Amino acid sequence: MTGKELLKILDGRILVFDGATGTSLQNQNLVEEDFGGEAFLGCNENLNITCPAAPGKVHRGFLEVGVDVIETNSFGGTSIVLAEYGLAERAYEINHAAAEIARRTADEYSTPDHARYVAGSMGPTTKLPSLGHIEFDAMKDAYKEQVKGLINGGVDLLIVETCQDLLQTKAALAAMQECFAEGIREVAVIVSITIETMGTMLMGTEIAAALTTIEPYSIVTVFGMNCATGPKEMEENVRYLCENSPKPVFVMPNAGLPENIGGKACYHLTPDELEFWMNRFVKDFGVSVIGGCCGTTPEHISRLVKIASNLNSANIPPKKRNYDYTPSVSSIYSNVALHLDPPPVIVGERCNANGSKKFKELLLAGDYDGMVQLAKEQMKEGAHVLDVCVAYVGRDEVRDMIEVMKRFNTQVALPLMIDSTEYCVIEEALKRYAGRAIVNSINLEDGEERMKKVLPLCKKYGAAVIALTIDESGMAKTREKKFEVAKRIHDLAISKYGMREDDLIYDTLTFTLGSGDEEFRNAGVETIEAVRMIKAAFPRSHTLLGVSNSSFGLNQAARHALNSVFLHYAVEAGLDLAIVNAQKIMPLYKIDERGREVCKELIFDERKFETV
Amino acid sequence: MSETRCTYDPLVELMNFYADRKAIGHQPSTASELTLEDKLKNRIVDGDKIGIGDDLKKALDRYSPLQIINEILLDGMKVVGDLFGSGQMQLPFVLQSAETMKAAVNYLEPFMERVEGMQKGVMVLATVKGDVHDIGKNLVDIILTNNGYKVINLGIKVPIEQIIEASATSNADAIGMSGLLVKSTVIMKENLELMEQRGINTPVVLGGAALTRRYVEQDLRKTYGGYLSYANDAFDGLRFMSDIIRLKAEPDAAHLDTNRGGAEVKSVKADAEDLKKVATSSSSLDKSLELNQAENRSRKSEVRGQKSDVRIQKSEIGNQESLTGEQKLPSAIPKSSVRKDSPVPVPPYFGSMTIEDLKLEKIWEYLNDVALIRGQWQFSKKGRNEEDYNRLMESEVFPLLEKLKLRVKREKIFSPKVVYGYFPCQSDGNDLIIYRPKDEKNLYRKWEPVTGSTEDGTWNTGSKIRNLTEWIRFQFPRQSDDRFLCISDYFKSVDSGVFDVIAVQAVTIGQEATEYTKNLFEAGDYQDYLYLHGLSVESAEALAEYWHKVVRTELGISDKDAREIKRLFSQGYQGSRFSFGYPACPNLEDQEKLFELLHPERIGIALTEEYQLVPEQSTTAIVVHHPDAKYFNIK
Repeated sequence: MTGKELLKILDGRILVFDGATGTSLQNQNLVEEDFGGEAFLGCNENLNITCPAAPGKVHRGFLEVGVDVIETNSFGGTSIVLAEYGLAERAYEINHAAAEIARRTADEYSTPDHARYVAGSMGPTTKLPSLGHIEFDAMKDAYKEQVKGLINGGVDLLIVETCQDLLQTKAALAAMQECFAEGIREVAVIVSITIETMGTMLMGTEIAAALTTIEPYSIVTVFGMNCATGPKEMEENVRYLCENSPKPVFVMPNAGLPENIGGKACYHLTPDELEFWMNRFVKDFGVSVIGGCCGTTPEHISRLVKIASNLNSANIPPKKRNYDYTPSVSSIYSNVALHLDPPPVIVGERCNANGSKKFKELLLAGDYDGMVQLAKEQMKEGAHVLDVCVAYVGRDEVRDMIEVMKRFNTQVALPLMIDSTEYCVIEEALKRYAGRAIVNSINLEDGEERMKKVLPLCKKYGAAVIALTIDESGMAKTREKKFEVAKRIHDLAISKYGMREDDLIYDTLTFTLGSGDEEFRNAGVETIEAVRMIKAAFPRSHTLLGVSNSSFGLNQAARHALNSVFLHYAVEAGLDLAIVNAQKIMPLYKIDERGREVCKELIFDERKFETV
Repeated sequence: MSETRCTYDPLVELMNFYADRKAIGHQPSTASELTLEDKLKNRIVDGDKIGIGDDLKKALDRYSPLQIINEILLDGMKVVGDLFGSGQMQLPFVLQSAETMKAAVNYLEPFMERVEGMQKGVMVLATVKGDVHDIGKNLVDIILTNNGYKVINLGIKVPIEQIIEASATSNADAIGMSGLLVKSTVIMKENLELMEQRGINTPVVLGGAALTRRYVEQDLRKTYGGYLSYANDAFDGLRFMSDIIRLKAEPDAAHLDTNRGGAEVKSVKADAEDLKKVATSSSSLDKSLELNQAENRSRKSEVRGQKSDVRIQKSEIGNQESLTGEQKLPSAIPKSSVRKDSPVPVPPYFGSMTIEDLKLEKIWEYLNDVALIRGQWQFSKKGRNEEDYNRLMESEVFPLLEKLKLRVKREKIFSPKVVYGYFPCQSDGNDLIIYRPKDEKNLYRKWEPVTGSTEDGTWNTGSKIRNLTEWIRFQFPRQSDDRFLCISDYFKSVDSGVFDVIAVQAVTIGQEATEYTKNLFEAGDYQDYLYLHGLSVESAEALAEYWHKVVRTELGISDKDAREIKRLFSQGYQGSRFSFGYPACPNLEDQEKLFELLHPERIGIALTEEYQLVPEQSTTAIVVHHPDAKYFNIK
């Protein structure tokens, strides 16, 4: 089943997933021999090989009550988890077997009137890449093996569930993309995160940040949440997803909050209560896919089937959600919209080895913690996003970027802008960033060369990207030329590389007005007007300017004034983001009137001439 | 042959203009050019306390600490007062100045000789009994304290006995009473009567949203023999104190001082007319930002003020009605034209439940920023053109709001909670009867889910809802003219045989917000205090608005909602949310019934004897679904 096919199904009906696999297996009172020996006791995934009847029985239980989708018994099927039982080498085989068992059982129950589907279950493993437990690539490779086993074993779709760390989710998604690119059959993908009782993911991620990070992935068809709590505790977040997510929403709660009784997790939510809540989620909020997680039994799940069949038999189509998604970027913790009201989004410029003396010194001293401190300072100064550039002559940029990103990922609460001309630096940074980053930047200087390299990375890691209006003939100077380059990038990025209009952030280039150079006398007004043209032609796209450039060469006082006035007019023309030193931007009224006036005259080149 | 020549180049102009300036952000007038005295004065006006110690240290070479305070710093404070009064300075900046003043006084204190009575005067200050509103009162505290007076701030809901006792033990020069509610003006009158009976004549200053100069000067002055004054704002309070102290310090007043009792009273009273002249001759006074605004929720409290007036009259009428109601023929009750055939929506359940995992971001979508910024924070448009005002908003106020929100989230200052429920109900004349299941042991939970409704208008539920008994009876007043509206009219009547549904909600931002802001105040972070307090109060309002939206969604009547959230603030939706004490249901006593229905103690809301909610950042409401239901006034 492809993503498109899944969407089509969801247009007409609610899909019902099965209930708990793990707890259902536990209830079968399996013994050592079933697991294949003492060494494998508790390795549910090994049952696919040693005791296939056990997972088969779980599947049957749920198919009997009428579910649409069963999940394979492969939650802990990556080599990372299996290694704990010495079964790492058998990962492919185990996943393949899990898929086959589920496929066979589902097919037994499938009728032309009621197709039964199989979802390949992919759990979070036992490691958190954001905390450095495992490298991104190692995790991705483990997932690739699992994906191949599941798809070749016959699953209809994949579900990455119980996600705790978005970087783990990204590794799984990167694995799928690589598999699909290698020719493995492409299937629909569901991502389901886990919001703990404290209201965020385990790593502290808010629901909005999770949505912002996963939403750009075109391979993900459905997004939602499962596990950790019962439906009641999920309500606020389910509501948020239904009001904001462009992707259909998935909800799979536990049978209430687990209670530890005599060392065993007990779940107390009754089928009645589950029905009440899920009914509410489906009918009032517009949730599209429902199921049960830990502690849910066939009795629970039969109520979910009832909800769906009641709607179907009454010919009531699924509720059409009226969602409102704001294109945003995000750190591992929280998100920032790409257009703020009032504008602009302030991009702090001081974590740049080429722009900030302080940052350069910290970099040269290898003082990475000092860099974190500088990043935090910028947050206090009012920055919303931070530009990060560690390129410095004679230093290993890849290594520096890795060291910085490892820390910034969890220690800086603001979304980052990854600023580098080197593709491998960009990719190493993206691999270590759990949130949604902005990549700085692409252009057409060498034709499509740079787009060809960078945009696939943006797609693979879900990043937004800055596009500079530079082409083969150099930096565009007139508004018409700037717009022409922007349009060329726009068309290529969307039609050829699958980017979306709102993923693109155009920088119409800021030149200094301080040189007096005749060629740049109009540079200010041309840059500002180009912003206006781009926003008019591509209203969902964003614009950005490196404001500080406008005053290069002038003294500090003049710079502050000119930067502030320039920013004012650019924002008026529709500018969304500005790279500035947030501390050094003044509101206009704080600049004396004459200063303001002169800056405006300089920006709009209002020189006076006389003819002699 | 002609050639063009540049006669004016803005670049050259810009370079010249900024040639010998430091970066903007420093004062445009170079600080070094100013005298030390002006520098210090400017620091107070600009609220610039960083490094003030260095300047004060230099000043100490030339002046005594008291001279610095009285002759230099207070001069700055006077400028602040004038700017504030003429609308050129916003309240938050006034507080910044006050903080600077405090920092300066703190710095100077160790250099001062410890002389008893170093304070210029002592005021006992309190929000009167039954009133919890203290922003205005605290402003008076700030301004007086930072101008060298000693203020004994007794807090909120202070009974008169406590005020009198504090005044006696501290030998106070004056008493200040404050209160937002209309009811508080009555309490003030009672307090003054009691003080008069006991022969107390300490000068008293009154302030608060519902007070007027006329009421104080014409009505209350008859009650109280001591000197009595009205303060329009905190700076009025400052003038009052300096007048009182000046009077005391005058030689003739001083000798009267030894002659305790009536003579002093007389003397002060004799001067009252002069004082009044002094007060009213100050031109900035009438224009000044009103203390009552500082204390109020702006429009709202005015409305509340009127309402409470209404309440007093109306509750009498209400009583008459309920007395005669039983004997009255139904036809004698005037009727409104509220439609009777409006369908009854299906609630998701009956009973009530609490919601605790609320996202602040979601709540803040419903934040009324006009009420917050103009009402709570007092960024008034007065004295500014549109452009200036917008500039101020963009450059300072909105970023400030964002920062505050972040802080609230980081430090977990707010813990929003909701308790709400749906109840079967029917109207009976002016009464609204709320039912409960006969055999429900625990009323404070969800009794039963509702899965739909049948054609005859009854709900698909379990057996509980089919076996109901009367629980609570609200007696709503009816308009005596105009449209003869009464809230009960929006519900199916007992006669119709059909049950209706009413939603009831109580929301709070939590006790932490109250404590946190109190700590800020005590630590002298006045500006933060004002901002956070304002945000907390408006967040409670936002939560009420948000939850009303949830209720509409759950009832399936949200399709009429305005797309823009802003328009929800002016009832851009089906039905209406009524709070007790407001024009359509003025009886605050009904809060007790609402508490019986929802038991909001579950989420930490309590009700005072005066029917005020504690914590203050809480609201309660009944939600009416009927399409005809909109706000109206019981006249």
